[in-house]
Amino acid sequence: MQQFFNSLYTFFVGLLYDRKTPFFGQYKAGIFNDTGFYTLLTALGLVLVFYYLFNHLAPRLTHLGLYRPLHWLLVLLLVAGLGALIAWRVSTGQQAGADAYMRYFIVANTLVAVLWYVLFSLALKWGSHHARRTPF
Amino acid sequence: MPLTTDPRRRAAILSAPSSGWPLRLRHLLYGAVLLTAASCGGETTATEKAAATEEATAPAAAPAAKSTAPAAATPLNVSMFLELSGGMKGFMPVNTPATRPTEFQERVSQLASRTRSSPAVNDAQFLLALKETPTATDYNHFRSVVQGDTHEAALGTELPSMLENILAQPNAAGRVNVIVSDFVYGPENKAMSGQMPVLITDALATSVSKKQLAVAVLGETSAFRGSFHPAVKKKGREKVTLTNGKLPYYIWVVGPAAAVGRYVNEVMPAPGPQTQQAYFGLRFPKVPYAAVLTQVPPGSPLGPRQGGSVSFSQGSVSTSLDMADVKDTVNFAVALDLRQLPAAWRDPKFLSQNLQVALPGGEVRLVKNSVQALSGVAALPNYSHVLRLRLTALPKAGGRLSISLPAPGVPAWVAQWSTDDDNQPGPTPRTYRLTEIMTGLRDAFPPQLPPVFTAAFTLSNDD
Repeated sequence: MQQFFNSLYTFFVGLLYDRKTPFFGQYKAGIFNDTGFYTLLTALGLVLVFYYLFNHLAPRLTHLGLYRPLHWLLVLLLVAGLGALIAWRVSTGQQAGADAYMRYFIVANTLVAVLWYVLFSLALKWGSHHARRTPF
Repeated sequence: MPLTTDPRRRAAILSAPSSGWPLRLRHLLYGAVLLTAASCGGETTATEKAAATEEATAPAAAPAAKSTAPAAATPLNVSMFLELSGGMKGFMPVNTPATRPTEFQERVSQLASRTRSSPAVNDAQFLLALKETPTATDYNHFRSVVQGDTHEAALGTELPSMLENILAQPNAAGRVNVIVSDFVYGPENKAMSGQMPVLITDALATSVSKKQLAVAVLGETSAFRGSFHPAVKKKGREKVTLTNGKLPYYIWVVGPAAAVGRYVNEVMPAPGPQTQQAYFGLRFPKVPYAAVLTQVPPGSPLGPRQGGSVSFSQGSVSTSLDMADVKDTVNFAVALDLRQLPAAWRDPKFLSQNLQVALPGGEVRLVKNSVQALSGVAALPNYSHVLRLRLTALPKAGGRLSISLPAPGVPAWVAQWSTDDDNQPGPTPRTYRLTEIMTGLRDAFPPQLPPVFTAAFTLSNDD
């Protein structure tokens, strides 16, 4: 899994920024992996909350009618924000210096979080009663 | 969910007038905020765990860096020899309250005193090199001899046999032998003066060469009041009486490499600006070093320069480095702890000129004048020097980068202190054929000496 996250983030950050950082070893040793996991879980969690908590299981929430694409889009923004927050917290937490690479890594994780959110949405929306056709 | 079941909070949400967002959406946001808090909490513990494992690995790495300490901590056994021949008496005149002691008297008594009192020294013996075998004496007598009680002075033996006799003392190879003499060597057999280097080398063969001892030579000058016995004796000038001359004398430290290094650094008074130094056979197998990458914050002048990148392979400080975009020049600093080295070899200028950097199959060089003494850098408290490397090529398969200090030969000052005719001492200190003596000393060591120290990194190409 670590290998996968390392390649994923090296690729994504590499798209945005063609330099590496003296802290790259730390990124490879843990930051990519931890960030990857938390981002994946957050995206999955919010997809489950959107499709199954709000639009499937709890009748009181289901009746709020939060199944429209606009709602989905707002959760997507939330996931993106959380992706940025997680990337920042994990990399500073593991003593990486605040350099250009970190900024691009935060941007990259924002995109990765959105990517997971979209993929999980497409994969899991079919089981939801009310949001089966969200976002399309 | 307590968010919606708690009537008071629900009322608060409903009554919030400022937000133009639909109520349901706001509920959704609240749920998300709760989730964020939960996810961040989990993330923090993981970070703490990572920090904890880092701390756990740090002490494991520390003993490796400090492993030189136990070896160096063995107490030294020192024998201090003072040549007491007629020619040495002028360095040790009897002083009156009106005269100042000579530099020789000041320095040698200080050296003897420190040798006796230093915590690094276990056993200190004091001996006078008078005749064939050195005569053991006690510290008090040794001290009074230096202060002018030189009536025992003998004719003295020739330099090679003096060295041979001193190094033939019992256990000499395991002790630090400090020899104080003017090293004036005029072979009695005039025909021998053509082969002085060989004679010196031979005198050192059984001890220094066979037992792989190290020799430190410190050249000093001192006022001289008395009769000087030149090596080149001219008719009517076998002795030259000097009332206010300056003559050179030398302190040789002979012993096991680690002990000599330690004695020179810890026991001897710091070399003055006039002190000349030469070292042979000194080696420091464990010089702590590290690439300066993550220890300093981004943008620090000690950090890597923009261009290609360099990082520790596993994130924590190690000697394996990953390089990327080497074609754009990787430029980074290396910190070294050279405090074990003798003063002359710690000089940044000397290091800039003599350090060698190698990377088989690649291209690396030491950035010009980049060797600097480190002081007051909180991030690198255990290092004394820093230098900068510039890599412009690295083989695909990686390579081994080494920074080494090749063993220096006879230093340049020796030629300036050497003369072919010492019959008329001039204003500058000269010793008869010092170059030959030092060449003989150098030849007591193998022609190819191993480097003084080597710092190596394993590089891999991360492109």
